[in-house]
Amino acid sequence: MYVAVKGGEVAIDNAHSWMSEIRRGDTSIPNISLDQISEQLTLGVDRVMSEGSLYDKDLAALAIKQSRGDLIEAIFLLRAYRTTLTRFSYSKPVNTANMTCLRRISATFKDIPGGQKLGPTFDYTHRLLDFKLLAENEAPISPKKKYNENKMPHVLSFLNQEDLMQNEKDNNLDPIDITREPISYPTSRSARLQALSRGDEGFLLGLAYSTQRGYARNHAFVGELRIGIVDIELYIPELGFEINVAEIILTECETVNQFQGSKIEPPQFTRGYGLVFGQTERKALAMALIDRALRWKELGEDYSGAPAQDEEFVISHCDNIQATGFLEHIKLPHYVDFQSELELIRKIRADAKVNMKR
Amino acid sequence: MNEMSKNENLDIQIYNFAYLDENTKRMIRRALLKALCIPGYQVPFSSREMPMPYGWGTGGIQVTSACLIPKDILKVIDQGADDTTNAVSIRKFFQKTANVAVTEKTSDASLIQTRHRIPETKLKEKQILVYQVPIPEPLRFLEPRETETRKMHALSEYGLMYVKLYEDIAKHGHIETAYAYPVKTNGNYVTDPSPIPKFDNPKMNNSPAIQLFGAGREQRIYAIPPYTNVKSLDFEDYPFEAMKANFKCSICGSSDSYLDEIIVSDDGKRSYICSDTDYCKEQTKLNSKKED
Amino acid sequence: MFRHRLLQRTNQIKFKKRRLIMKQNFLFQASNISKYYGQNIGCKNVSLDINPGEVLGIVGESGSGKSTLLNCIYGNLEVDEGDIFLNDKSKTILNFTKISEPKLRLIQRSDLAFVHQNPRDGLRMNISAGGNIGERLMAIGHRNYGEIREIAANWLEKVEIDVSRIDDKPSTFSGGMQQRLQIARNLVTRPRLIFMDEPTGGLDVSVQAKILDLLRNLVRELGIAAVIVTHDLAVVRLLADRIIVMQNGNVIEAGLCDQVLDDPQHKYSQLLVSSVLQV
Repeated sequence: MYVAVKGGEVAIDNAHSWMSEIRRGDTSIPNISLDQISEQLTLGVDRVMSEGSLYDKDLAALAIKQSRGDLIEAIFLLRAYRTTLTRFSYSKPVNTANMTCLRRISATFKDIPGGQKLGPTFDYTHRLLDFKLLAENEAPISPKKKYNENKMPHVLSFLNQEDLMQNEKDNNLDPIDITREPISYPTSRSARLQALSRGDEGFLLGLAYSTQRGYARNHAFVGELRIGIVDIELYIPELGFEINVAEIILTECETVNQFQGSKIEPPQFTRGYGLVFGQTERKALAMALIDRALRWKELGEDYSGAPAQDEEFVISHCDNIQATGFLEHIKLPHYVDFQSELELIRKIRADAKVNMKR
Repeated sequence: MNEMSKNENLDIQIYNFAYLDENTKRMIRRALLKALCIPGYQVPFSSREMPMPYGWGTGGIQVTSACLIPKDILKVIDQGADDTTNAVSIRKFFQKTANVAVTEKTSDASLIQTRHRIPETKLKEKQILVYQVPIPEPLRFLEPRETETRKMHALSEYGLMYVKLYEDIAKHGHIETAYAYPVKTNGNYVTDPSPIPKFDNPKMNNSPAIQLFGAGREQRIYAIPPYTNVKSLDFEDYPFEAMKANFKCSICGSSDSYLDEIIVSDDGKRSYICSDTDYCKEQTKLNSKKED
Repeated sequence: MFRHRLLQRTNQIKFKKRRLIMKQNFLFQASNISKYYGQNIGCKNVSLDINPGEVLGIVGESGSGKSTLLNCIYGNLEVDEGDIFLNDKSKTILNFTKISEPKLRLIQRSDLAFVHQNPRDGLRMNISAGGNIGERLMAIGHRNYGEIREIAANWLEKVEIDVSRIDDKPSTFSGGMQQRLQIARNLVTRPRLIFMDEPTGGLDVSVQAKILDLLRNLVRELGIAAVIVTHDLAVVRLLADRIIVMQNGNVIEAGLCDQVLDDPQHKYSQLLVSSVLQV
């Protein structure tokens, strides 16, 4: 009897214990702590929280540690954990106009009420490796205060006042929750935005870039990009009012895009919208561009056949957990399918040989 | 060993029976009931992220999780075998989270989760067969758009499906699909049987067991109730043909079961063994009894 | 300007009259169809009707709204205003703008057919010629490979394509052959009304003549009604019983084909006729 096809169980156990060993690495080097990850690899933690759809820094840090820094694997761990959490309530919509901003910029107006605030950004740094970081225990101190307490109304609201900006109307429907209802196409903007907010940063980046290079070009300006803390409020029926249950960091991006006007509407600016957990501005920016590209139908624009305009294409491929699972499943055994292909190709070849002889 | 299983028991208590919470199970059961009422129709359901990757049987696992009861006897196979990696991983998962009895014996199992095969042993009433489905849409590779394929099903617009079969015959003289060979369920919906070899297709027809299909990533559930007509698509003059390697199993000697080809020596010598490991075992036992 | 309006008015009256007379046996009717693209007019307030076996030509220069109109009445484009009626096989009158999409598609693949200007839009380029013709047959339930193949071969003959090309893909065909294949693919299930958008548009003159000849024979032989959109008056002269002339999305003249071509009333129709028929 041929033995190689047996013994899967032991092989799996062995593989996993070896992986745990490798994850720990050289034991003469101190174990990395979750605090270190959540304090020093914050942007990685933020990405895992946003695409994992679960705002919990400690769990995200644990996932990053467990996944050996493979962020998609970490996102996967967080998502699987999320499945087991009971949904007991929905919060009130967050009010990003009341955000306590650590960063807030506009590319459309130089001077804005509340002022521009650069905040902690890689922008304008020279991308030179900083060998000073090789030395440990450095503790740089920023001379500026961290948060801006000024009132910072949304920049696009000023365009709204003149009616130059398309006003987003509340359709009074509850937003769709794609983690509780399956997506059906054509879908609503709320479902699209949720899917994009959970979507893979790399995929969104590439698609957004494609719109800038002419595949559904929509001339986006960054009307406003803001990062900061918002309150999460929960309505408690027993109390009869809302209470503050958490503070989270969000990145919000609103783009200003051209719009030609239609039979019933004069030309106006329109907006693309991005809102993502954590400090994740590349993702929020990309999300806003894609959101705007996907709105072609509602705005009566032409479908140019660009990938970023194709709702089914974008939404059904932006989830990296679905994508990586299906891609990697081809590593699983396919003996049976392959066997039937073998039979068939032999049969066809045999028939072809007979025919050729004739 | 004892200590280890104690630890694992601690682990279990964090999660609900069979992992999913009861609300989620209820949602899946509703989809299953709907699916059984409309045989072959793909019911959308809000698939959850499972602790296994999409594409590794998350649909089947969710269906199993929603169906399992404590007195169930579970069998999990992948490629017909009980001890391939994926089958082992899924069986362990349910042992851990549901603490149900497991078996390798097809006739003993009350619920069988499978990837890519239907067991050779004839299934019975009250058995449930849960298929793991990667792409539930049989029209997907002819028409990539979901909005379009749903309309095609709604209107029985299956012309395109037959064009594919027509082209195969025109080109090769055969229908070229060897696995995931499309079927028509209850004379109505064209259905994907999951990537089982077409050798298994006839077993779906008029089966006494309940057949449930779960596609996690694609968020679809569909079903074939017991004793339902399942017909493999074909032409009147090119009828469907189940196909297998024309050899005997080199272990049990069976010639009527589906065979896997294995390469046994460096010079490429081939041998054939049953893909269904339980069936092979049973046949071997029967043979030795006869010899006695 | 006054004369223009008068003419429009009389045309409308003419249409109304005919509608009253033909009420029972019209095949297809569109009334007051309008379609807008943003602030631009695609077509405005267009009415037309077609009797069984009749060929209607829609002429006008490019941008006149004729293709928009055709796509609207076939049901490919949603109309902004107006109604579209089909008197189906069971003599039930269906309104395209009211029926469900499934129902519309059912009609599109049984009673109707659509020949595109570019055969690439109407053929499956990666499917053999036989498969292209067979698709509509299989869609309505044909399940015998041999029979489907035989019918496909017959149709290839009918449209003068060598039967030995049955397993070749349309991508290996010339433009004229592709167009003939598209016609065969559409006519194989004998629809009652066929829509054609510049069916000879992209072809050179000698090939055009052959296809027009073929179309004329097939349409007459099978008694199929047709709507042909073209900018080429020679095409309508050859095929159409009646024509409507469009400019800027409006119908400016309508009538019997010979009547309009020999004695055009509208200035623009006169211009069209004089510019072409001198040849």
